[in-house]
Amino acid sequence: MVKKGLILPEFRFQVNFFDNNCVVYNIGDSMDTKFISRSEEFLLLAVWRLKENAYGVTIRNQIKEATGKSWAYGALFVMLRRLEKKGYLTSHFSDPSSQRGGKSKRIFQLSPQGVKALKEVRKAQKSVWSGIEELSVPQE
Amino acid sequence: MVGNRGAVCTAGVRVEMEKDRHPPRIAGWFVRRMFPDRGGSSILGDMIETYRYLAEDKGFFWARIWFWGQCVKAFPHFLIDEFYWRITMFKNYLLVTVRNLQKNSTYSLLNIIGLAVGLTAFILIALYVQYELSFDKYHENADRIYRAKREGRAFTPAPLGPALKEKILEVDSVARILRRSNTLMSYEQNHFLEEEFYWADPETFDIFSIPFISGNPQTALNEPAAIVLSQRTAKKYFGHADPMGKILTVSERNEFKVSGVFSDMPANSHFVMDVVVPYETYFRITNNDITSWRSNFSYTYFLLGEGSDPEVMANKISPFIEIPLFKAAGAKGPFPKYFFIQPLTEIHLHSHLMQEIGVNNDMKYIILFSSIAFLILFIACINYMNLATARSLRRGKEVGMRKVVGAQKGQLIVQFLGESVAMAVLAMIFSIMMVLMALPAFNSLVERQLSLNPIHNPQLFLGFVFIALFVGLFAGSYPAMRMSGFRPISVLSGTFTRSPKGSSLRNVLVLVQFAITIFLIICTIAVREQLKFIKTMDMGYTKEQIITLPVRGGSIRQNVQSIKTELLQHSDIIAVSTSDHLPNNIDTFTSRDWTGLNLEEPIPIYYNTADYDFIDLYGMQIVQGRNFSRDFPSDATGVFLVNETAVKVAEWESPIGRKFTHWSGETGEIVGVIKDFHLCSLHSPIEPLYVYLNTRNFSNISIKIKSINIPAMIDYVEGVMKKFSPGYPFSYSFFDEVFERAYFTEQRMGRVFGAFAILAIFIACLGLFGLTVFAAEQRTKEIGIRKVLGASDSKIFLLLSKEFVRWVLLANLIAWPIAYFVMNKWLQNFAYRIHIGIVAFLISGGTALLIAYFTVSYQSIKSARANPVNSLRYE
Repeated sequence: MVKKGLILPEFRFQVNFFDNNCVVYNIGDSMDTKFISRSEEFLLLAVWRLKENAYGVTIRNQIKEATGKSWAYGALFVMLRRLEKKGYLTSHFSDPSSQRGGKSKRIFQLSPQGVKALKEVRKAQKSVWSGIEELSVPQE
Repeated sequence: MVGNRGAVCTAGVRVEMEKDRHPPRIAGWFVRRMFPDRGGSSILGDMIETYRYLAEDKGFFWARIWFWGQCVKAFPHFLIDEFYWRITMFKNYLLVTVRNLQKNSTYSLLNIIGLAVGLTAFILIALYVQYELSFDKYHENADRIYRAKREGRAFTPAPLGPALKEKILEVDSVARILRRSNTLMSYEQNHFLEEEFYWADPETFDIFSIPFISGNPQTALNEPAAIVLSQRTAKKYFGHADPMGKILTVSERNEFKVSGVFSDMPANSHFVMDVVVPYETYFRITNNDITSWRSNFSYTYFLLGEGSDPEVMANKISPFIEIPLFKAAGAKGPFPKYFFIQPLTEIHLHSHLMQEIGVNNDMKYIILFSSIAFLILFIACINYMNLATARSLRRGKEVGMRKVVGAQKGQLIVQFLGESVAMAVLAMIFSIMMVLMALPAFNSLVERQLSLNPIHNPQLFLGFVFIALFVGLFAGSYPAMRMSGFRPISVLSGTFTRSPKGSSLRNVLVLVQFAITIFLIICTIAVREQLKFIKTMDMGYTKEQIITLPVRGGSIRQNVQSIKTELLQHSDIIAVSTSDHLPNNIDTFTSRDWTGLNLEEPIPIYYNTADYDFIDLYGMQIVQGRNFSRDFPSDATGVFLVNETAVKVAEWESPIGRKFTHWSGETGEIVGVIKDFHLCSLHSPIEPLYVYLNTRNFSNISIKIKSINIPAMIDYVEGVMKKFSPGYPFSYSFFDEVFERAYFTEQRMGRVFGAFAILAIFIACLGLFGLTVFAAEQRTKEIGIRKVLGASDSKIFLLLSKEFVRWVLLANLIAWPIAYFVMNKWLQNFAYRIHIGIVAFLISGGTALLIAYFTVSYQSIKSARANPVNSLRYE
């Protein structure tokens, strides 16, 4: 019988890293419950479409082609970086080219997790839109 | 030539082309700063690629504009992104903080309460100090207002004001002010003794910022029979009726017509006026000569011209005013400096003259209180450091984990600092609630009306935020540095233990805490002892069972004999006496040469006028000659008593029978010598004194009573007074209370010390308690093993408590000399003072030790009695 301390919870000697105050980081975890946003969906799809050639300029062009809107590079970069940190994208650098003022390209690729996220969005979208042939304002 | 120029031209174009091929450098630099991705590989590379494409398509001009546009557009995204990651991390920190608070609720509570109590003490004192520092600063021209004074005295002669204005260019405006407290004022059936009754020049309202509610400040006092009231006084007399033009009677004789009402002066003024009447009228009514340099009873305030140097002005007083006066009086140089000036804003805290207009505070006390505030805040911070560091082991694993995952030292420091700031903010919220609760009690402690009003005091709330931040950062700094420095390998492999270095630093912190606490206890004891000494010291007169009544107005003076006779008919009244001053506060003196020694520098002699019964009523002793006596009819023409000091100073061999002159010219014989008694507070030594027999002029009636049924007796006294002076507002005080009132500042200091010493002890104990708990936890296994091997409970108890006892004892050694030094310095203020005995030190040391022991023993006994099975079974 452990006597309950009046003042503090009793002190146990345990060697367990994940006990008590240790925090396990798993940012992707929270995505199980959350869908990716629409713009993230566009980006991931653009990357998937572009296969081996997905980097800033091409992704931007792809999105412009698909949606008619041209994104600022700042927005593009921030979103790509965030997607990468969340684990949906991976990237590597190509060799520098003079075309780009001596900069290398950052080429993106879809990760399995990204594919999963896209599939989930697709599934959800299908079920949400199911049965709707044409969207019109309901007449009263 | 031509070809040459052409070459230059093409080169120029090429240079330009080359320049344009690169996007704007500054914009590029910005982009690289915002998104440092391998020198901006991705984003900048992408932008350059698009830029070149655009340049070919639409020209360099548009391309450059596009590039700049992209740069500008990227900025908000950059900000949001920065923020996003910060928030994500912050959310995690917050979560960990909240979890920590919940999991270790006792520890958190100890910590937060400690901080909150410290902050409460700090805020209360800060409020007080801020208030004291704000005295008289609300006047628009506060920095240009000065008061003339004499050496050591505040009263200046009436003609000084006009002379300053006339002869010294720097002086813009002058106002003379004369206070007559306890002035009887009547309106129809309402009679009041006005405490704050002032005779003042009309310029008073130019110099001081006193807004008028009705009437014109410029002209309100121009009529000789004008009277100006404060709002509350007007309401007292006239209720809601319009006071303007109403007639008020002053001292049952003189009628004044209300010509203005001003809004109540703030309490943070060194004088607060309720009734103001024209200064010159006073001289007319009392038949005093307003041009006489000999009558010192008014205050002279003046306004310096803008940009004038007060020092230059002060240096002009001597050549322009003093020297002509001395010369006119036929005196020969060198002439001493006679008049000085002091800034208005310094009067409340820095001026300690005789004849001050009200009770001033002392900068010394402000500094003392501020230091106490900081000491207590410091103790509270130490507490936090102590507990947080003691806890660090428990969070070692978290730190190790974070480091393994990639946290940098700086990030960990930010996290822990953030945590302590959060604690400090929580504590601040608690403490504001505590301040609100404690404020009424604190107000009565310091006798001020302080409030926590954000509207009147916006900077205070900024101060709160600042203090919370400061305390959080300061208290968190040491634990944060320590914890962020943990080596993950030792933490996670389980070899991490409490380092001896850390524990010794914690002990030093406890040492400092207790040293401060002991210091405060010693100060409290010393102040109390001194006050007790004053209270019980033989002043040379009795203080008990005497009622005093202030007297103003003629009807009581005319009927005094009948009043005395009637009062004495009551069986509980033993004696009645009238006198100008009460014996504890004889502050009038004359400087003419009374000794007959023809001294160059005359020795001032204090004086009082009294009737036949004064000496006996106050139990004073006659050591030579006799008391005033009705048996000697010649006494009625005016005779004198002097005190022993006067005889000694004047080197008289036989004082009895000497001719003596009252300050106003009446002469008479000295009939006796009074045993020395203290004329003023014990701050000053006994001065020469004479008492002049005068039964007609007095300001106080003293009544010696038997202490049986005092309320009924007071009713009787009131009835008698009312009979002879209907409408005269009856007020009385007990002489022993009047006596103690003179030591108000010291009493307040004693009480504040006491209160804050208790707070300090409380905080220090919280810290000590927390530390023992953790020390005991740390040693759970050790204690278990010791017990298994046969150690007794008492051995374990000693083991756990002796460490703290040692530090508390050491704290005594540090605190004693400091306290001795400080208190000795304070006691220098008293001409009669105690010696701080070793007892005070032993008591405070003992108290601290005892309290520390009690604090420690709770946990020690608990650990000592714990069953070793519980602590060892996890092995």
